[in-house]
Amino acid sequence: MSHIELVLWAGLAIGLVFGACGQVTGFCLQRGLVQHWSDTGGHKLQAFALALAVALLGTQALAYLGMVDLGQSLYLMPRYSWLLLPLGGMMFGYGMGLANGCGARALVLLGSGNLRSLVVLLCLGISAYMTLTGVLGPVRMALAESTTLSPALLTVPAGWPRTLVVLIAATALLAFALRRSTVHEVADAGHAAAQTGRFTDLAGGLIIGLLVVAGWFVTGWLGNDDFEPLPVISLTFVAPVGDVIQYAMLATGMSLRFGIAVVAGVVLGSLLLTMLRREYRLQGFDAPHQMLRYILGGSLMGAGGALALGCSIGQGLTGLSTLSFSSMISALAILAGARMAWSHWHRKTLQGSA
Amino acid sequence: MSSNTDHALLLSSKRRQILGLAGAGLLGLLAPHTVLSAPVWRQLEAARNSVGNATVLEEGLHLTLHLVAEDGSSVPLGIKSNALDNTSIKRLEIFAPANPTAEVAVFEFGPDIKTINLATRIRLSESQTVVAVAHTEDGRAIVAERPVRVTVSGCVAPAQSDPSAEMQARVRVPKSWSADTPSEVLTMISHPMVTGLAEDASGNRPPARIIETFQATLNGQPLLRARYFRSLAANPYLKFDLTPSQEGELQFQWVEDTGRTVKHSEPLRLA
Repeated sequence: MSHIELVLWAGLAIGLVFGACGQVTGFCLQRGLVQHWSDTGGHKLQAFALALAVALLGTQALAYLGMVDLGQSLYLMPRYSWLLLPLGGMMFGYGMGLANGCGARALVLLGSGNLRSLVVLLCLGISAYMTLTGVLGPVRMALAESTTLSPALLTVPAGWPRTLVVLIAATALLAFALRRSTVHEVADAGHAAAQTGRFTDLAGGLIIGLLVVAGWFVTGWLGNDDFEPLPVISLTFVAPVGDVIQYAMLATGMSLRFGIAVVAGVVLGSLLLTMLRREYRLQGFDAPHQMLRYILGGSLMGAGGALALGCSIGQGLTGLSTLSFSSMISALAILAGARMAWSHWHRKTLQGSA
Repeated sequence: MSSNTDHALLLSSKRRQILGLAGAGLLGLLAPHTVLSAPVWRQLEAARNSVGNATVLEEGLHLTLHLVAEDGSSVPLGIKSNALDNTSIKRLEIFAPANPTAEVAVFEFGPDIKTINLATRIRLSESQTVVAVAHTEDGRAIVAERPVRVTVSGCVAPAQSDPSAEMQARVRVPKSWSADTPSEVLTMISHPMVTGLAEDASGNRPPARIIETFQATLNGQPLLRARYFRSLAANPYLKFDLTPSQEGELQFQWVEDTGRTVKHSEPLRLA
């Protein structure tokens, strides 16, 4: 088996675990943020913090051991746009608020029969590639060129500073993650998904964090080859969603990538678990204006994610696990955008289901 | 009544027009792609010169190239000969017609290269049709083309390279070879292949500097000779099939346009 095939199969396996875990634990940053801001109780944000802590520790360990060269990754590229990263992040965060969940969550929900997620994913994938290589591509490139930054420092310097930052950040995240929510979890009116307990939430966070590390390991170490190098990447769900749509249409002139295998795995993994638990249920939109909201949400996530070089998982977990400063910008902007959406649509977000 | 009949007649002729157009369109879709578009190689002087007066075949050479390449600086290209009568190819030229330098690479093959199954990486400045011209032993020219869409130009992206890590050769060969069976040889040399068109971080344009030639020999006999141009991607990579006729020593040599040379050898043991 060539290293390329190995990476693809491993990506599928990672996706399957992600999908199954997402389906069982309901891991979701958006849900966590809403729980936190609306003070409705629940531990989804703690789960995300745990995922980030695990991803950070594991990824930095791989880098420290010299097994993965993070410098090859997208998050540590020497040039980026000081305008497009935060702008894209805010667009993504706002879209995530509108669509009640990010691309990864939509993939998991799709596996359980949620057709609203299908609409979100199609809009996400198409608008992402519209921004990357499509009609919006030239605009993006022109803006990027005129707002490029080539900073001297891309991340915390290696050695003691980095070790210190990793340990402090991981400790703070773990401390938050293990905090019990004092507010008893309120059942959202009209909310279809079952409430998950604290243990389930945290288990989900742990597994997702480990999957981020697994992604780096697969592409950075298993897939390492001087002659036919593969991009060093981990979990991200903006471009890969677009890749899946493109591959379905252009397979005769395009080859499979790690991201495509992961996305396929997530949907399959979620589908398998849903069938096993007999929870498969076709769901659609209740009203046209809800559909429009989700279309806008998906489109903002796709275009924003393309500009910000990632999504809630892509930058929020994978990017931050490299300790890149540009990822911190994107991640903060995503949170800001999500917050804006929450304050505009506060009541609707609480009542609406994904 | 008559207006109704006129109306009906008008509709029916319009319907026929539409049907006719649709039928022509469908036929156009069904017709082979090469019939629809004029061959690109005829518009490129270098390709025409290469072909010269030879009989042109449009079958027998297959190019593997993604339809869309987001990053034009390193586009994988595969070239395979699938001629049924095993016409032996002696010379192969690759062109990227829209690049500042249209020539990408020229290969000459010795007798032990019995099957053409090359892989390399090229630079593309913009969307274009990549052309390959293969010359057979019996004087014919096989032409193959494949279009590719390029989003970001590959010729102006600044190269990030470490001068101390340059000119390092890497070769992968099978541990044991079977006589008369083709096996893969992978070769690569770390080199930025400076185009002379890219601006570095300080706004300077470093002058062009590339690996100009690559040569592989077996016991001194030439297997493959290549001329590289700046349209080849950085860290020139070449994979080819070798059907060895004897045991011995494989020698590889890369020469930069400044004269710097790197050599590498590997033993070849027949099983």
